[in-house]
Amino acid sequence: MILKICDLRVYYFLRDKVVRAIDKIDLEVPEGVVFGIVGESGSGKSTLAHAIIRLIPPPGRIVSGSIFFRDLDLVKLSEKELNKIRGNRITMIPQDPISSFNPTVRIGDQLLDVAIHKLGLSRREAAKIIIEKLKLVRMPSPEINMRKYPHELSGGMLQRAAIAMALLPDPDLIIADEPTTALDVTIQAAILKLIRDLVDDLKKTVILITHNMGIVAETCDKIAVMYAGQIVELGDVYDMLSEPLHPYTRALIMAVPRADREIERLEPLVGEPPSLSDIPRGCRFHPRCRLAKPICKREEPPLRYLDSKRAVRCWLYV
Amino acid sequence: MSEVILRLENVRKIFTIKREFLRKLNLVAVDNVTLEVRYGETLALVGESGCGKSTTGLLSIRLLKPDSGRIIFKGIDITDLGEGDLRKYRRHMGIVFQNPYSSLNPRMTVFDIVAEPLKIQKLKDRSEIRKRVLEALQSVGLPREILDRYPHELSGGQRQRVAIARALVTHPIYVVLDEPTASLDVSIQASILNLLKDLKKTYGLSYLYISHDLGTVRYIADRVSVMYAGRIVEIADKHSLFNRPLHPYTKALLNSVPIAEPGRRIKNKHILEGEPPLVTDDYVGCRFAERCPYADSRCFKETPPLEEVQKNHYVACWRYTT
Repeated sequence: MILKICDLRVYYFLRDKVVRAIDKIDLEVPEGVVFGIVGESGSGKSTLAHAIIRLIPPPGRIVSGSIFFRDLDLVKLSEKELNKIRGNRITMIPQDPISSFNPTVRIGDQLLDVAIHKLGLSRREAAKIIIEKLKLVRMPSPEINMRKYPHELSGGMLQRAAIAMALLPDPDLIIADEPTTALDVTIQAAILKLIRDLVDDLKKTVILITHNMGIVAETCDKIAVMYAGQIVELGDVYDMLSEPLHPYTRALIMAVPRADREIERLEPLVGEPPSLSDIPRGCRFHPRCRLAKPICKREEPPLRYLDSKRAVRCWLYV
Repeated sequence: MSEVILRLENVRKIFTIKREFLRKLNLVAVDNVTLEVRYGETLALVGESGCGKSTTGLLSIRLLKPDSGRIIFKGIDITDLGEGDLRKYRRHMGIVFQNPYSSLNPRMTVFDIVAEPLKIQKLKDRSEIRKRVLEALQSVGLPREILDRYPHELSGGQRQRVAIARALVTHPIYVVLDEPTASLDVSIQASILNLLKDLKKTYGLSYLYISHDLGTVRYIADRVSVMYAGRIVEIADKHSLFNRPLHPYTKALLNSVPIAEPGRRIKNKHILEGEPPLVTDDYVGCRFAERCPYADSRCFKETPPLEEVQKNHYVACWRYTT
């Protein structure tokens, strides 16, 4: 396991309420896979991504739990120790590359800055490694594009530059937070293929955060589905898609219109996700669940493993 | 009455942008677009960002004026009408924008938002206005209790329902839907799509459905037009377009869509390289040629016209294959 998260809780302490952004997260990410974390807005998927590298902005904080990266508990590390891991062994691909680059500095200089100051390379070494990574991400005409400012590059090219930057320290784990949301589908496909190559060819591990079941299906090896701050189901992608167990996972798959087949009538989920400051008692999904039983209203179901790979948080499977 | 409610004829829209000092660039956003929306149908307009699909939508209800070409609404040429004359026709038109967070005025109540088109139409009778607003809210499944609420008090799904109610309050027959579910979560998206389908049936509406999402297009459209770099490259009924696409771009687009089907993997896909060109007014050749695996020398020199190659199936390509 490259990453092992136990009972992780991240709460935001607002003046008049506590927002339980993620709650009781248990997750193991094996080495050399694309691990997908799927959920709708407010499900806590981005908070989870940021918690892994301990970038939770106040008034939020990690309330309890552990995040083991190999044998180091990231929750317990000092900021100084953490900085040897963050941006080094673990890097991030942003959701919106245009806002993750400094608009007033040429792209190439921003990459150089990271290579020289964060990684301590000489200018010559830095330039060599940057060109190498740009080739890896198939950046067209790298010498020309590196002299451009962020606004002069297309979204797809900027995302390639951001991926090159994430690869500079030769990290073990890369967290990609909705890396293609801002991109068109043809460009999205190219970026997802590139992310897949990072795992298949370079043996990296990628955590891919997304709201799109299609992306998950085509790119990930394993996935976890999040709802209202918790993982409700996890397993191998093929199994999860061919036989989704949790009623929410099922509903999520059923609610998506398909480009590959005719659907007579979509079945929308009733209601809306709960507010994280006012979470329903019992199972968090029960107010929207067609199969809810009396126990679902009273007690929160545990995330229970059905076999070594598949786990579900639902009373139907206990 | 003809069966066509809206017809765009060779419509062209150019945006002039300043590049450097005294240098200008004429970008062709919409280039010789000809299309028809028929009574009671949903015509989808699909393409990637910057392809001109939203501009086409705005042109179709004359929120923009074309540089050339004609816009014919219900048999009447509205291309050159002034605002006063246009108002007579706007009553029959509606538009729903992508983002219900920015398309609703945060300082207006739901009632005022939905009533505004009626006031623009100079409807004065207050009880009539109230009746029409309540009717519109009811048709989109919103309770009357939200009349006095402000947009920030509503969820994304409710806001988009308010935007739809506003578009419908004047009883239009033609509605432009510009990515109406793009900013919504999938579980909310499904209910909005179902609502739009139901409203079309109940009120006999015709839609121009603008989207980059081929899944929603397949669900809601009757016919589909595909746009690339300002031009229509293919139009066909939904069945032909999804099952037998002809244009290489349509094929690539369909192939790129990620689908939640077990066993479908990105690794096995052929990926389209490159990006769409910036089209200036001196552009020649097929806009897709640079990225097209089938392009030959003619494609770079001559712009292919949109031609009917099978019954009701139009394609603009020199090299299409069936």
